[in-house]
Amino acid sequence: MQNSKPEKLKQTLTGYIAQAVYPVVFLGEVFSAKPRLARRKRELLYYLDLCGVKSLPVVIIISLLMGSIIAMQGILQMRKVGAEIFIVDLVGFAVLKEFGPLMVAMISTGRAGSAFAAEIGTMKVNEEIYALQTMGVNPYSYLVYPKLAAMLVAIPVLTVFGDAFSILGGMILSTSACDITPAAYWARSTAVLNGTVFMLGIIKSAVFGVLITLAGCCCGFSAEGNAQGVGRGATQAVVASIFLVVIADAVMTLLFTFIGY
Amino acid sequence: MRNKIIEVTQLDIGYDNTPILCDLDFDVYEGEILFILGNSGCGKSTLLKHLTGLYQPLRGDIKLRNKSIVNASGQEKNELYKSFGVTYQGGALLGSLTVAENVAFPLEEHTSLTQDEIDSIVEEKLSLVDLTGFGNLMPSELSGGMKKRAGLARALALSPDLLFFDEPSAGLDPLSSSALDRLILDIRSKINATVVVVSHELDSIFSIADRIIMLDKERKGIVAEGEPHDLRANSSDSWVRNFLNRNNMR
Amino acid sequence: MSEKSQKLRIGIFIIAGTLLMLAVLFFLGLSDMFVEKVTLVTRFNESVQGLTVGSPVKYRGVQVGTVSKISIVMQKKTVWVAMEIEPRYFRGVDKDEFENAFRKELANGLACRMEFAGITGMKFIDLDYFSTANTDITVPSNIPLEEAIYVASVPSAFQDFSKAVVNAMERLSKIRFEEISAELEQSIITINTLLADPAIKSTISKINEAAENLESSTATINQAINEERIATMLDDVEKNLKSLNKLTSTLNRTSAEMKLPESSRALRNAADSISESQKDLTTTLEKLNHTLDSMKLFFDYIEKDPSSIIRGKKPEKSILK
Repeated sequence: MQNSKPEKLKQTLTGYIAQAVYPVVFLGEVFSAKPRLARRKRELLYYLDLCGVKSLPVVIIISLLMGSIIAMQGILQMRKVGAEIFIVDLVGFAVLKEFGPLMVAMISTGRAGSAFAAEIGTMKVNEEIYALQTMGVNPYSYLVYPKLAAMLVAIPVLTVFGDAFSILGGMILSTSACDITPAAYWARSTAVLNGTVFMLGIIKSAVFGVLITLAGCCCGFSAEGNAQGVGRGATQAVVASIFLVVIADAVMTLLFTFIGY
Repeated sequence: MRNKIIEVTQLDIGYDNTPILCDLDFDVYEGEILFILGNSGCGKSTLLKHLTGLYQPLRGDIKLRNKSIVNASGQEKNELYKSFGVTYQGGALLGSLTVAENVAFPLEEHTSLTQDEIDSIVEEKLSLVDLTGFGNLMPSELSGGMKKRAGLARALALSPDLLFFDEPSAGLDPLSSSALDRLILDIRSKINATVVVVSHELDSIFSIADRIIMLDKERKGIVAEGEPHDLRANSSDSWVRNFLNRNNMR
Repeated sequence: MSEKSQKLRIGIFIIAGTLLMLAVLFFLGLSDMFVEKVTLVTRFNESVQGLTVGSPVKYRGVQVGTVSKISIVMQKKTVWVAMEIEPRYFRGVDKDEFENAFRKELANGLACRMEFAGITGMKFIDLDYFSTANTDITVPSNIPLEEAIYVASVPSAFQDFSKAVVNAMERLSKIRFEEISAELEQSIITINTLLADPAIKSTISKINEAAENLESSTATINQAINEERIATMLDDVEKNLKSLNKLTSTLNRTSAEMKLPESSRALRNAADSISESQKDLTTTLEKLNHTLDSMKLFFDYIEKDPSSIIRGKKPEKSILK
């Protein structure tokens, strides 16, 4: 049967609108579902393992490098004015406020966000989502909440590690490339940095964790039911996660600046 | 007159306001094995998803034991879900769980049985589908037929008296296929279940179907309803006779 | 087995993360929470430029706390500064003992004053016994913090110094250097033109010439006189010894009185020294001119960048080069 042109246009438009509205529908589905986390210990542990423990080595390596890269760039600039000791401030604040949470978020986007989308997309292809529904299990509750809970724990913990190792990296580089002693670095760090800045960074990372999880799951649920669709869903999850994380970072940085941090 | 398990009245189904099947009216009776068949793309799998409450119809109503699944709230739907089991084409086992955990999953979700009780039920269901000893394997380690049987075991976990099968013999060799047919008969006789099967496997239809409903893509509706052998021989519709006689012609 | 190791991994992960977080928090200032603090408050009648929340508070050079709050009373133009100091820096006293001891010290003249923390303009608050006698140690009624101990403030040394500098600068700016220098320049130009006047030049050269002529004629006269006299003398020796003698003595007297060559030399010397001193005058005036120029430059510079009087001239090369 041939559709008339306006009819087709209408269908395409409603298709686009449905696509654009899907994230809102998805959020509604998730927040109207009961978490029932007590029943999901196994899933919770699995995702904690996947997103937390197994991401730790790469977080440590990248953080060490990131810290030393910031320190290196700082030394190159600060040396000109003979203010090498301020590298400690630079590394400390840059890491605690931005790079710690951001790097962990980026790593988690690659590791967890895309994995969530691919997992849910594949389950959709295999009709596992339908199976869950006909077993009377809300797939949004079963698939999203354990991930959300695991990420809410794993990402802040990873950020703590990321912060610590970034500062360690900065310390290693600046003590070996400059006249700053580890003791001076340590003293300056504890003098200029404060717990609030650190905690705000951790809060930031928790928000990033939520965004990455929701973006990953949403892209998984909206993925088309074939192998290519799953691939596209995973890619989309990464793009959407990075986008959301950067936007949220900008907003939070602004907010924290308003309250004086 | 036998009890009606499913009543379908004036059902229109389709995607995005474009109906693919219109004005469906049929009933499923207690204890029978009903096959829904039709040419590819006629919407028989879609019809199954409507019958199991996954999709909302465009119009009309579906009643399972006099309870509408179309207008059911989330909670009512969950209650209805506990009363029937669905076996999907590829088994649709949860990939992160072992076979035994998959079978135990509905029990853990909907009952407050102890772990031992659950274990014994899982053992019983797995032996029913001839998968004893495979409980600790992951779904990815099973063959296609085994996955389907494991899916069936999971569908049986809550001992429902209504079972839906989506293409049970698709992708199976004739021997496994007929073994599955025997399994369906076996289960029906053991638990006196009503079985709705979506398939176009004629061998299965003629060996186990009590009644069939035939759908046609072109005519967007039910073109024939009745006992398969009878329809093959006596249908007034030549398309129906041709469809059912494919095997003979080959 | 794998489930057990998974749980172990996760357990280690979370415990290590939590411990690390607590450690970081502890070192980054949560440790402050467990430290007893005493709040002091003071008010300044001067600008607190360079003092911020977190600026150090020192007692005899030892940092014992930080500035915790700065607020302004608009009507009185005073700035209230609250400080938190940690009694743990004072050996062997607990909080209450410290407060009592501190009040006693306040009665003994302990006061606070803003000081520069370095050359960057940052300041700190110094608690010490300042000799300024007229410090008002009575506690004002409107202390913004209820439980805080009021510490009297002494005007900062910087305030006196800056007042002196401002006064000096004001006076300096009242001198009309530009006019003075212009007038000086004008007078030098006048002198120069005067000296460059051809009349003076010719006068001097004429004086020179006259002197030379006089010299040569004197020489001729000298010569002539001598020979003539000798001849006459020889002629008259025999004729009139007496008159010769007389004449000779008279002549001698006359010639001794004349001293003509010496007079002419002296005249020339005088002319020379006039031209010499003219040169000297020119050089002096030039030097004066130069001095005035650099003074003008200096004051222009100060006008542009008054802080250079303290900090010194900026290095000429860019520091970033």
